[in-house]
This record gives sequence, structure tokens and C-alpha cells, in this order.
Amino acid sequence: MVELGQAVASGVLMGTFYALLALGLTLAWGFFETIDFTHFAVVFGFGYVAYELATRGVDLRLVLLLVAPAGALVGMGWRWVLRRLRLDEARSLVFTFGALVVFEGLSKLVWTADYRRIPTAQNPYAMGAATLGPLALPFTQVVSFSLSLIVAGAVGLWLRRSYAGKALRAAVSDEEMVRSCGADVERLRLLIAALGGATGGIGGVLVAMNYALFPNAAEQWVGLLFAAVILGGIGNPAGLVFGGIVIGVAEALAQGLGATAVARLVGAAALVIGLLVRPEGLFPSVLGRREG
Amino acid sequence: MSELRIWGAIAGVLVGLLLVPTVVRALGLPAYYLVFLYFYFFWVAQATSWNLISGYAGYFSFGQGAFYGAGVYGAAVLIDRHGVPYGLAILAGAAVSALIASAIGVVTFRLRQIRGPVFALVTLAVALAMHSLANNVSYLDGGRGIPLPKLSYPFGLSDVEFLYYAGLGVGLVAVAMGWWTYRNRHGWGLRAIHDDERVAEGLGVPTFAYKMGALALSGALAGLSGGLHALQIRYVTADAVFSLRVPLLVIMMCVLGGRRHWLGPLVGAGVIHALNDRLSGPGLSSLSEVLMGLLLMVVVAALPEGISSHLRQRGMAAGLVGLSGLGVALVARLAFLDALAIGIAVAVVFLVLRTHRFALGPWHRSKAREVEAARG
Repeated sequence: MVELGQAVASGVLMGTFYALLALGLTLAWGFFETIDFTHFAVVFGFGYVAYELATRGVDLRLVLLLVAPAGALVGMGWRWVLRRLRLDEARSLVFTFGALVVFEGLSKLVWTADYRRIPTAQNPYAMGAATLGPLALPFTQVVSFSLSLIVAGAVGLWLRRSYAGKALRAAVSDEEMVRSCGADVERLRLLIAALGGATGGIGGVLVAMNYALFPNAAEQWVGLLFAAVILGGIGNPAGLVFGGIVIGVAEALAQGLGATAVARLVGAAALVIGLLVRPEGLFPSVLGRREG
Repeated sequence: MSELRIWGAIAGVLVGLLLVPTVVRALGLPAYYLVFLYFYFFWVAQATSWNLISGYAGYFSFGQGAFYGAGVYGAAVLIDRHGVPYGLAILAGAAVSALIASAIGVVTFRLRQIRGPVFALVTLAVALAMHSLANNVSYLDGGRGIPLPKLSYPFGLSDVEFLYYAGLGVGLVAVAMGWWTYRNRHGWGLRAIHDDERVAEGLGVPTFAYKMGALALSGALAGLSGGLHALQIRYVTADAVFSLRVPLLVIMMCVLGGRRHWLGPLVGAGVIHALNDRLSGPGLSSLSEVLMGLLLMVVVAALPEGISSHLRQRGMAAGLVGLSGLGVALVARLAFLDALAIGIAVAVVFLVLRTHRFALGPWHRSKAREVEAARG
């Protein structure tokens, strides 16, 4: 029973971690029609930055604080570049995929293809765990859990309730109209891009605290995170958290049943099964309102 | 008359290609020329396979590795575990791959919205899932890799020569498929789907059947070429087969060559293969990754239509520029293949610059704005 509880708890924690990493993906896809593979470059780029800083003795908690504004700037800068190019969905996918490949090649040149791990001496938080009754909750996952719930909840509410959020959602279905009503859609989108970059950066630092980094690491996450995005409904932050939790719990249960080999397949399987059952995703997507 | 000339040219090229191994043997040239050309045929087959669904119908796939890998593993497992003759094993690989492709189609083409992006991601997810399956199921691989036994080929051909002829055969099948689909009703239907699927559906194009047909054909072709490639690899490992290299290069070839025409993959495969072959020498592989990624970004941003559509207007000029690049490199005592890659690179750069100098000139820029405005 405790094992089951532990599996579900770590699945939920893992799922919210996925949601934190994928928030930038779902926002970019939902609100500016960009399927952004470079988000993975942002995540792992900041992961490597955290590794470099930590090995030089900077406290990782400070890095977590510093990375949010830096990530926001990167997100905004990249959004500006993509906007100048005016790519449609398909071309944005290819373009950002190319950019991710460039990032992987460069990180091979800089950090070689070896596994890089932050030494335990500089990373006391990887082992630290809070205990909740019989359950162990790792520090990094508690951070990502709380951040993910707070950020996703806040963004979700902001999109639903605030005037700016309404303008953004309306711009998905008819941008011309929203502009002519006087809303500066582009500036709001920069804000969204900043959010995606900041959460991606924080997620990257947490990845560096929990896992070994290597140049092609992104490839293991692509399937999982996009599965969470689609299950949660594109552009729907609250749904994304649920989508992430569904995948995380399924993974944890598969691992608990001793099927480690299968656990890696769960993301793909969840995506395919989810699409068979609910072709429109489990939660409403903003794209449902798109014209055409 | 021009029909005749075209057929004559095609026949000439074919006869020339068939004679290459004999010439190499007679003159005692390095066998690497045959390997180089075999890889070109392989990439033509893979790129044409991708183009059938992703170019003609506009459904972007990142799962080329899945179809190719199904062919490689289908053939390798049958040859190694069951001693099946390699000809049958290769065909079985094609069948497995077509089945997987059809399954993906059944799942994703049922959706009512965002079909395109979901298709792209599902193909990617399937490729990643197959990678970890192959690594974890010992019947398939189990992380040890599959070494293939030394096979003996008919007519006393060496393995390089056999692969050359077989690769040429598969490449011709691919080009014929691409050309035939492009020309007939199926191709028109797929292009209509690319332009506006709902309108096509409304006008009576059987969209689901056409997409399924194109996807199954694409899978079969990739599997056929992958199965043959298992004989070339000789030691099959999951990490190499399912790496993102194959889908990446295939997408680049088609985007660079042009996705709306059957010639696109031929042109793109020539450019990318020649450059990649020269760049992936020792110590250059991550650099070549960076260059390939950059090239992909530049071409997607600058030439959304690909090269082959520009070749029709500037083919002669680009050819001359490429040939002079080749000549200069040869005079500078470079090896023939290096010189070839340089010539091709120069020709591509020439095309991009030439197109953009005119397309982004003052007159065209205002024209482009008008077009944008008209589009809304």
C-alpha cells in the first residue's frame, strides 16, 4: 500500500515537473502558432549553465533565482527572431528543429558527448528529501511541484479572467479584429514568450540537479513533453498539469510493477491511447477556436 | 521531339549508371565511388518516401527513422534469427514498415482538427518508442546489436557491387513511385489536401483513403530501402538506426530540394549527401551537425519552395557555376569527391544569393508586400 502511495506521489511530482518544462511549448503553440523545438535548447542550455556555475561554487538556489530573468530574456529574444521570419506552423517546426540540432552540435563541441553531472558536494539538494508521513519527497521535485502549480494556475487564471488574457485568446481566432479593438497582441505575446523562457530555464536547472546532462538528452524528453501538451489541450496550462500528471503516474506505476523497459514507452503509449479515446485531447485546446 | 530527347537522356543516364561498376573494375578505381553512389541511391529512396506523405500531402513526419528502422530490423532479425534468404527478408522489412505506417495513419487521420501537428508528433513518438523497444526486447536486439553473417551474392559480385546494383534498383523504384504518384489522380488529390483539406474533402477527394495510401506507400518504400541497408550496415545497433540523423537528413533533403515535385528529393539528396559525406570525416561530425542545422534554418527561411523550382529558371547558370567550382577545385589538386562537394556547395550558394538579390530587390519587396496584404 505504501509502495502504491509512493508510486502515485512520485508520479504526481514527476508529472508536474513535466508540466513545468512543457509550459513554454504549450503557450508558444497555442498563442503564436510556433511548434518550438528550441524550447528544449533553452532547457538544456540553462541546465549546462547551472552545471558550469555549480562546479565553480555558486549556490544552486541562487542559480534558480538568476535563471528566471535570463530565461525570460532568451524567450523574448527568440520570439522576436521568429516573428521577423513569419513562419507558419509547419515551417516553424522545421526551423526550430534545425536550431535544436545546431544547439546539440555546439554543446558537443563545448561539453563533449560525455555525461556531465553536478558533483554531489555542490549539489546537496539532489539527495535532500522532505518526508510526509511514510512518503519521501525529493527537494527538487517539491520545488517544481509548487512552481508548476502556482505558475500554471496563475497563467491559466490570467488567460481566462484578465482583459489581456481575453485579448490573447481572441487573437487565436481572429487577430485582425483584436488589433483593431486596440489590443497590442504582439506585446502580450512577448510576455507569454518571457514566461515560457523563464519556466524553461528554471526547469533546466532542476534537470541539471536531478540528471546527468549530455548533448542529445533533449531527445528523451521530446516525446514525453509533447504528449503532455497534446493530452492537456494546446495552450491550456491547467490541462497541461493534468496531462503531465497522467503521464507521470502511468510511468511510475509501470516502474512500480517492475516493467522499467515499458516505462520509457508510456509517454508514447499515453499519447496514442489518449488520441484514440479523445481525438481532441483530454482538455479543451485554444486551437479549437481558430478560424478555418 | 523533346519527349524523345528526354527519354533518350534518361536511358543514357541509366545505361551509364549500370556500367559504373564495370568501369571502376576495369580502371582499378577505388571501390569507394560505388559506396558513395550507393548511399546516394539510399538517400533518394528515403527522401522520396518522406516526400510522398510530407511533401505532396503536407503532413510533416519526424518518424522516418521508425519506417527505415522497421525495415532494417525486420530484415536483420529474419536473416540473423531465422536464416531467411535476404531477398525475402528485405521484402518482409518493407511489409512491417508499411503496417506500422498504416497504424499511425489510422490513429492520427481520424482527428478533426490539428491533424498535421499531431501527426508530426505521433510519428516522432513512435520512432522514440521503437528505439527503446529495440533496446529492451532481446528478440529484437536487447542492446547488444545484431551482427549479420557474411552473405554470398549471385554472379560473383563483391558485396559493394551487389549493393550498388540493388541500391540502384530500389532508387529507381522510388523515383518511379514518386513520379507516377506525382502525375496521376492520387498526386493531384494529395496536393489538394496540402492546399486546403476541407475544400478538397468537399469537392469529393477521398482524403482519408488518399492519405492512407500515400503513407503506406511511403512506409513500404522506406522499409524496402532500410532492409537493403541492413546488408550495408552489417552490424545493426538500435542507437545508430534510430538516431535522429535519418529523419533530420531526409527532411533537409526534401526541404532543400523542394517538397512539391518528384525531382525535389533527387536534387536535395545529391546536395546533402555530397556535403555530409565530405563533412563527416574524423573530428568533424559535431561541426557538420552544426552546419547542417544552420543550412536547414537558412533554407527554410530563405527558400520555402526549395531549390528545384529555381533550377528550372537558373539551372544552366547554376550548373555552370557548379562545374567551374569543380574545375577550380580539381586544378587545386583536391580529391574528386571533395571537388564535387565544393562544386555543389558553390552552386547552392549561387542559387540562394541569386534568388534573393532579385526576390528582395526594391521592386519585388513592394510586390511581396502587396501579396502579403492581399493574403490578409
